[in-house]
This record gives sequence, C-alpha cells and structure tokens, in this order.
Amino acid sequence: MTSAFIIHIHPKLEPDPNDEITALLRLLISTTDGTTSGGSVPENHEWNGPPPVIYLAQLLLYISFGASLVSALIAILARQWLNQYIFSGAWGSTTAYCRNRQHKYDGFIDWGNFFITSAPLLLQFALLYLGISLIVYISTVDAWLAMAFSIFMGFFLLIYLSIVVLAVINPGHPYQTPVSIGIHSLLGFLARDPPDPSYSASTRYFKPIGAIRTGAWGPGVNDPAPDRRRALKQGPDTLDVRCVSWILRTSQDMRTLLSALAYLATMMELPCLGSTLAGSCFSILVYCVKVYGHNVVVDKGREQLAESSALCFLRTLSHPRSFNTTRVRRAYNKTFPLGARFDDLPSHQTFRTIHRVLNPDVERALRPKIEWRGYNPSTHEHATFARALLELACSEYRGNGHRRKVSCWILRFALHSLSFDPLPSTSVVIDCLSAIAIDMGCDFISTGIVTPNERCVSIQ
Amino acid sequence: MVEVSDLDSIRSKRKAITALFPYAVWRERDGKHEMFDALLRITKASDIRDYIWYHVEPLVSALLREGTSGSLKLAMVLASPHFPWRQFKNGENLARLWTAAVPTLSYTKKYTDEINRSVVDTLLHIASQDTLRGYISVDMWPSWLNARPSLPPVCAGRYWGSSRDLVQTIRGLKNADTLTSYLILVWSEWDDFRDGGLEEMRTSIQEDLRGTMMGPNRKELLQRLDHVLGQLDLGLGHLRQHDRDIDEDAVQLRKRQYGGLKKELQKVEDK
Repeated sequence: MTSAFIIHIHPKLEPDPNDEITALLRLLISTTDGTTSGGSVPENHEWNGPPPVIYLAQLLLYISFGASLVSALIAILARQWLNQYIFSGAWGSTTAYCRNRQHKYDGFIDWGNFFITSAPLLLQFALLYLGISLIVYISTVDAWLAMAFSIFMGFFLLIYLSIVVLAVINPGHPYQTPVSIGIHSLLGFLARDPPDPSYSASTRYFKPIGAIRTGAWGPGVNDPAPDRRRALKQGPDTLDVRCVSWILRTSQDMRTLLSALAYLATMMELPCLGSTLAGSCFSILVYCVKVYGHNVVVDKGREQLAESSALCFLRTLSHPRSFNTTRVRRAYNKTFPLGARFDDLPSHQTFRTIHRVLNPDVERALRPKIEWRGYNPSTHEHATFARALLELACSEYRGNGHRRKVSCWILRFALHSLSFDPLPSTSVVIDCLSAIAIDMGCDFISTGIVTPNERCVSIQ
Repeated sequence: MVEVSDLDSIRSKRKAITALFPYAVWRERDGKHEMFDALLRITKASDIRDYIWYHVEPLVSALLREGTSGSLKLAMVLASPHFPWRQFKNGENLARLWTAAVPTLSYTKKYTDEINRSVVDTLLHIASQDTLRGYISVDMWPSWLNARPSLPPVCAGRYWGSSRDLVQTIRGLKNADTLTSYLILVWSEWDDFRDGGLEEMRTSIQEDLRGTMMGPNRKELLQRLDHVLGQLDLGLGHLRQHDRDIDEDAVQLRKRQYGGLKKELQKVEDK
C-alpha cells in the first residue's frame, strides 16, 4: 500500500512537463497576438523543486516503506530461528534434543531478543508514518478532506495510546504492546529496579512454544528467565533440570512425563530454579487431581503421574527460601482448600506433607495429620520422600538461625523408616539420620554431589 | 551429643532420641552395642522412657517375635523394665510376646544378674495389670522370683507389684518359697504398698507362713524386714539419693508398715 502511494506522489517530486508546454504556448500566443495578455509578456515560471509538504509526505512514506521491509526481513529471520529452535536435534536422542533446545533457549536469553521484538515495533511505526504522510498529502488536495481523515486516524491513535498508557500503569493488563514493554523496562532501569518478570519479552514470545498446561499458575510464575542466571551458577545438573522442566511444561505424553519426573526424583540435589520447576510439577499435579468440596481425588489412570508429580513438587518446595513461595501458595490454595482431605489418595502422606508445608500457620484443627503407620512406599518413592523431608529439615534449620528444631512429623517419619525390617535403602537411612542429627543440634554439611556417602554431619 | 546428666537437654531431644532408637537396634544386631547401650543409659537416667517406648512399640513387638536374633531379643528383655506397660496400645500382644521370648533367651553367665533383674522387674510390672497377668505362665513365677535379684531403687515392677491382686496371685501358686521370694523382692525401703497389698500380705503371713515348716522362710523374711527398717532408720538423706520427693511423713509411714509386718511375722513365729 505504501509503495502505491509512493508511486502516486513520486511525479510531484519532479517538474511537470505539461506545465512547461503550457507556459511556452502562453508565450507563443502572447508573441503572435499582443492583445491577448494585455500587452504584457507572460513570465516563464521556472520549476524550483517540489513543495515542502509533498517532500515531507514522500519522506514519511519512504520511511514507512523502509520500516515495513526491515520488519519483514526480521520476521523471516525470526521464523527461521524459531524453526531451528523447535526442530534442533529432532532426529537425535531425546536427551540430546532437550539439551540442544535448552542451549538455544539460553542463547536467546543471553544474546537478547531486542532484534526480534523490534519487528512488530517497526511495523507499528510504519503504519504511523503512513497515516501521517497521507494526512499531509491530502491536505495539499483538500483541507476539509484532510481534516476528516485526521479525525478518523486520531481516534484510533488515541485508543492505541490509551492501551499503551494502561499497560504501563498496570503490569497485569492483558493488552501489552512493544511500546509499553519498552517504557516499563526504561522506567525500571531508571529506578535501578529489574523489570517485572511478566514483562520479559522472551517469555512473551517463547511461551506459545511451551504452552502452560493449566491456568492455575499465576502469570509469570512459569517464567524461567528471571531464575536462569542464578540457576547457571548452580550444580552441573542445572541444564538437565531445566530441560526436564521444559518437558514437564510442554509434553502431553504420560510416559514422557513419568520418565521426566522419575529423573527429577532421583537427583541428589535439585538445582535452584526458583519457582519454575515447582510450577511445572504443580501444573501436572493439578492436571491429575480433582477437588470435590474438600475431597481430593485422583483421575483414573493418572495415579502414578499424580504420585510422581506430588513427590517432585514436594522436593521443589524443599527450597522455600530459594524463591518467593507466595505465588506458589496462592496458586495451591486456589486449587486445594485449607480443609482439603486426602484420605482417598494412594500417597496421601505426600499430599498431606505438601499441604502442611504450604500452609504452615494454619490452625491445628485444619492441619492434616500425617500418619506414618502403614506407610510402606516403593524403594524409589521412599528415597525421594526422605530426601525431600531432609531438605525441608535443613531449610527450616537454616532459615531460623540454627535454633529451630526439626518438625515432629519429620522425626516420626525417620522413626518409622528406620523401623523397617530390613532397613530401607542406604540413602533413606542417611537422610533419616541426618534429620535426627540436625534436631540434636549437629551442623549438617552437604558436600553437594555424587554419592550419599559423601554427606557428613559435623558435631558442634 | 548430650550429657546423660543434663536431663533437660535429654528431655528436649526426646523425639530425636526416639527416632534414633530403631537404628541403634540394627547396630546392636550387627554386634555394635555402643549406640544401644547409650540409649538405654539415657532412658534409665531420664524421665523420657515412657515417651520413647510408647513410640517404638511396633518395633519392640517385631523384635520379640520368633525368628528375631537372640541378641536383639536379649536387648529387648534388658530394656523391658523401662517399657510403659500401662500405656502401650497393644500391651497384651507385647506381654504375650515377652513371656514367650523370655524362656528362649540364651546368654553368658556375666549377664545373669542383669537378666534376672530385668525379667523380675518386668514380670511384676506386667502381673500388676489385670489384663496382662493371664499371659504369665505358672512356671515363670518360681523360676524367676526364686533367683531373687537385687532390684534397683527405682523399680516400676516393685512399685506396682505390691498390690492386693498380685499378692493374691502369688498366694494362689501355693508355693511358700515363691511367696517368700516375692515378699523379699517387694519389701523395700524405696517403695510403699499399693492398693491393699499390705493387708493381703498380713493375711498371707498369718495363713501361709504359719507352722514349723515355714520357719526358714519366716527367718528370711524377718531378716529382710530388719534390713528395710535399718535402711529407713538412716533417714531422709539416704533415701533422697534416689527419691528426691520423699518426705519425713512417708518415711514414718513406711516404718509403721514394715514394723507392723515384722510384728505379724513375730506373732506367727511365737505361736
């Protein structure tokens, strides 16, 4: 459309040959018949360039045209990059595929995404310049027509500006624009405050790839970007956990989800990924259960998935100080009421523990009692659960100035687990003894990685 | 770790100590006795034993069952005087398992005194409860009471074992030696008599220990009473070594009770 107007206005940038012919004809008539022009010789008007208004209109049109072309180029490149992102290593193993994808995603974050996000911004500028140039050009034709067109265009411009202002004022506004995101980032920079994660452009553009399974999680909670840099400083498993987190958010295949959760559960120490991982596990958990009044039931066929996701969710909650649990709590309490009953669930101990961890201040009557009598989990589940409880114990201990004791129900779990005949796995025994040692006032030191035997307890 | 003497610390760590108990048992099974011994010492030295044993009741039941290794059974029997028999949820089952386990114990001679002490203590404790008494076979009484181990100053079996019902049970055995052993065991300067036990003992002296045939038994009992009264004469300072709450009234009461029993015995002797 812009090019059509350029073609239409372009002749006005050059001298009109008809004007020259008309002037010469007037001169000829005047020379042959001196009475026609009253004795005076008509002046031969020289062309002094296009009128400034036309020049301005054409300039704006060219800018608009250029912006359109550049945004088209960026869109093509972005599409190409996204295709590479989606299909990178698609023919290799799942692990390689996930790692490759994660590397590319991290690259997107590291290198920034201003180039990609500038495409829609350029298109909007192109439209703006086109509108202004049209108004300028029409004003040379007819002033009333130009005014009517200006009012029409101004009305929509006003709506657009209102949307931008509202989006800047209210971060939760659903109609964000590149301009509002830019202004908000600028304001955040001036205030020396990092921008709200929900404004992360990367999230806005990559979220459709990893569509969130349910709407239970609040905006921004699943956003991996804010936690990524912190996560990279953690252990060597960070990349794999981020891959798993992505699988949990995107996959619809139960076997894939189960294997991803199983991988997560077997990790000695979960890297600190903030609320990202917790959000992924919780989304699956919510997908598997239904709440009727206060009764929580698991959908048929999803028992194992519910159990695994609950276990992993519990493990992610074991680092409550590594991220703000307010949103996690809010999302959880939206789904599970305070007086939720988990009696009918196969792994009700896990659910009750989660409920207790996320509602620590609830009154005793509403607090679900965790009974270990009859708790006889599989080896794998037992190890994961023990690890989660130990991490909780450590977290409570460290978070309270090394004064607080380990919760009674965790010690009862240790008592129950150590009473098994034969004893449970070494990992469970170590975790239980570590929890006991913490309560006894010993300083728990985790050497971090590899084998259970590498952890130790130093006595103060 | 905590010092045994620091009772407050032990009390505040009772949940952790309880949780550690099963692991100590497994170490004991593997021949590593240090942790179990330490826990036993802690339970003996503090007032948390009810708490601990109440929570490990299922484990204790499992360890007393058939098939458990001898050392673990032995450990459980040694610990059994500290069990809160009156508070166990499933005390009847535990009493049944305990009475079945005791005859199967095998131990070296150096443990004999300690085993005898533990078994008699527990036997009296169990027998003091109507619901559990039936699980004790008739054979157990003479075989263990006649060993006459020296019971410790703080002894739940002796404390609860001087009730009327239990005296009647022992009398029902129609065995003068067992009755004598029983009386020698429960007569102590450290404890009073429970629930009409004193009256039943007087009756027993009058009815079961009369006659010339009972002379040696009466002599033993008189010696025991003299010993008890002699200890009571040492005064509050001596008794407060193990019973901080005892007062002069309690001492006088015990003197009257044991003095009355002595008179009763002497009457029978004089006849």
